[in-house]
Amino acid sequence: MNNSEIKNDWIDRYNENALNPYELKRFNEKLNRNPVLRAEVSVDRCLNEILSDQDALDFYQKIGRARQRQKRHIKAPPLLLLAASIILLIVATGLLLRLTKVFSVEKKTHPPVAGMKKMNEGTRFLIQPNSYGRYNGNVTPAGRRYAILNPQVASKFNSLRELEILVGGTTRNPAFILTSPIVRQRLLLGSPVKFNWESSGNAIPVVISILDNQGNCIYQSTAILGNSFLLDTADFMKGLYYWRITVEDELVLVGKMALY
Amino acid sequence: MVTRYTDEDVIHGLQEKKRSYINYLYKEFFPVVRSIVERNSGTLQDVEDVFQDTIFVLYRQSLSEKIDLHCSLKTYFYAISRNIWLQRLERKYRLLYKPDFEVNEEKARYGQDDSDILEYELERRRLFQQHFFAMPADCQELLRLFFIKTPLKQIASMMHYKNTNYVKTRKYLCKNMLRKKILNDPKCNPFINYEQL
Repeated sequence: MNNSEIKNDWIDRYNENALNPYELKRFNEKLNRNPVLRAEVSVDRCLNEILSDQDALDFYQKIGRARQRQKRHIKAPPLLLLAASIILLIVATGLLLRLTKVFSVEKKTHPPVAGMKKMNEGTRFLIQPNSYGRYNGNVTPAGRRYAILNPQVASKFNSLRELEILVGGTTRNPAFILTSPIVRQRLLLGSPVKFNWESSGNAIPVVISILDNQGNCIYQSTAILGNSFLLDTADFMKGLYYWRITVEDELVLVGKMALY
Repeated sequence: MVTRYTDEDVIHGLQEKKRSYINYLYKEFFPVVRSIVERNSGTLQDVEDVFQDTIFVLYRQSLSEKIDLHCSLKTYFYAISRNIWLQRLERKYRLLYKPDFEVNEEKARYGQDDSDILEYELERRRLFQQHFFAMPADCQELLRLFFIKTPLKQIASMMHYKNTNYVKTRKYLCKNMLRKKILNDPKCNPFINYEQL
């Protein structure tokens, strides 16, 4: 009879009074010598008592479950959950509204291919949202805003590629230096635009032309011999315009302005 | 919406171990126990333990119809939990300061008649049971069946064991595992008797 047999079998049998006299004698001898065995026997006795009380076991199990439930409640109290739900609802509503607006713009203005730039007659670019509902490419931020808020005006802010590549280039006439306005400008509709320039040597005749975003010339000044010119935008419509300065029929500088 | 029960309802519900009543007790009476224990240098874990023990005492008293309410159930609950906690404090204090304790303090009883509340046994039962519930489900089931005196043949067929010998072996193994867990748990140490049986 080895030690492990005593631990696995004899302790149980000792407490169940199931040991034969020989086993009992040997076991008692071991018990007298070994305090750990005594501890095990005492624990086993308690366990027998506890496990026999099935009613208490059931009850404690139920209490344990209730305790788990309460712990979950303590972790996330109802008020906190309510607040989180409200915040989530607000965020979801906001997103939904925004998406509704974006998709309604898309439906009204660009039915066929959403998300791609569309070329119209080889020259014009439409403001088109991409597949994420965003407006990218050669559209000003204001243009994007308008595209969302006012689809009719949106197309007026489309840029024209041919002129766009000329915007901001250095002057082609070294005798002419433009001091204002800046080449890319945003203005409120009706604001005056003051052109100032310096010219070295004799006064040179300067012609200022205003083109719309489709490249149509909508205004052209007469030859200006002075050093300034005031452009009134009161009669203009909201949209993107390009100005072009020519000196003696030679293109000197191109800039653009967005009127809101 | 919290359902409110009368004290009698709660006692009857508790007798039948109804989940809704246990939950109700947790919701309504837990703060009471918390105030007692935390005011007397207890932790949240102590609060939960005392609360469980109090419910158990209440349950046992309800079964034996020992409850004679002359006050609200909340007050009664408060008294039991206070007794348990103060007895527990006293026992732990005695364990810590054994040499001086008998000189400076006399054994005190707190509050109402608590002669039938054996705090020591409550704690031992709870700790040992915790180890039992932490065992694998098949061990729990086997031991439960064994202790309600289910015939070994029936246990073998219920648990899909090949014969009764295997049932015995499994029972020894499970019991042995449970004993070892308890013996190795420092929290259980005060309840283990190393002296002569």
